[in-house]
Amino acid sequence: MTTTIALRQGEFWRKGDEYLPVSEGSRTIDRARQDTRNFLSNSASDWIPTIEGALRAIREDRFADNLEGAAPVTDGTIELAERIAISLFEMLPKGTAVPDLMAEQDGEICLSWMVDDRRIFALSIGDHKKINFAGQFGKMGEVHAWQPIDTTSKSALESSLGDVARYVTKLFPPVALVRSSG
Amino acid sequence: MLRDMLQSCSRQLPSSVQADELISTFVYQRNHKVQSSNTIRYNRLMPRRNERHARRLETSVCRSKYLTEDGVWEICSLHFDKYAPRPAIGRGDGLAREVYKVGLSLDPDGVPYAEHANIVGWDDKPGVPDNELKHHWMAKAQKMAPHFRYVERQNREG
Repeated sequence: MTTTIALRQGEFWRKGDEYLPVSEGSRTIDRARQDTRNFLSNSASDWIPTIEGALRAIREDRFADNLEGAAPVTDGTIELAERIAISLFEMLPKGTAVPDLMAEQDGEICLSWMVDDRRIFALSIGDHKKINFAGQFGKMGEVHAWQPIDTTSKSALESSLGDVARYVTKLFPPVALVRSSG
Repeated sequence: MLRDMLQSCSRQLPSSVQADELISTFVYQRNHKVQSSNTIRYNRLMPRRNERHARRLETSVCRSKYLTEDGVWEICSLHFDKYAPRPAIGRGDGLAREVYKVGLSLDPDGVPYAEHANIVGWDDKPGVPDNELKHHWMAKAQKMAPHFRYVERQNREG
């Protein structure tokens, strides 16, 4: 198992285990560029089992927190978190890292993506048709807000999650390409 | 251990939390630790509403500067472990100045133990539901968390 990097006129990219010869021309290069929009290529295929496993763990553990002010995670919140995670999986570029899921003390579920401790984006999901999100993007600033979400249909939900998807993408900018001046 | 507790009871702590004071929050979930930077996740610093303080938003912390290592874990055993789903596996240590930097403050209430304090001053507005305020709390917790170094619990007898 090797990862091959091919170089051509100052551009480089990675294509999993497959070597793409330079001689195949620009179409191959463009295809490879699309396939490898960031360095986390091929990781998205693991989203769904990971999400399901995390939600199963949350479901089993949800009444355990007895600290003051704690609230259990409801079935509705778990179901909504799953719908949102699946929608984002379909909306985000191929290769986007799987989010971490964890139950929060107020009964909500947090989906978060962390590049390092100064670049993070998280959204908090509760059974109330609103999401809260906050992100730190290092030198690229920060964002935080709440917004309503429409869960009446798959397309409505995806439409509601447009901003969230953009912020997650901002966290994982395409970095695989370095253009030469020539 | 007993000596630590007696010292703790008799010690006069400063009435306000100084910027260079070390404060700690206990961690019971493995995924509240950021492995790559050995810090804690912001979720550990998120506030709860305290019914006894008129539903004030608070994040409970320990003024660990005034405690020995054993003393910190003794407090954890007595005041955290029995309420948490699992005993703490570690703690996040940070300076109070990181709290002040994001516009929050510390209330050293000394309850239920002398070194107890609450991070307070979280965005709150009468009539606005928590699910429209939470993003403010998330943003501030995200800024503080990278400054809280994770410390693994060594003695688990508590």
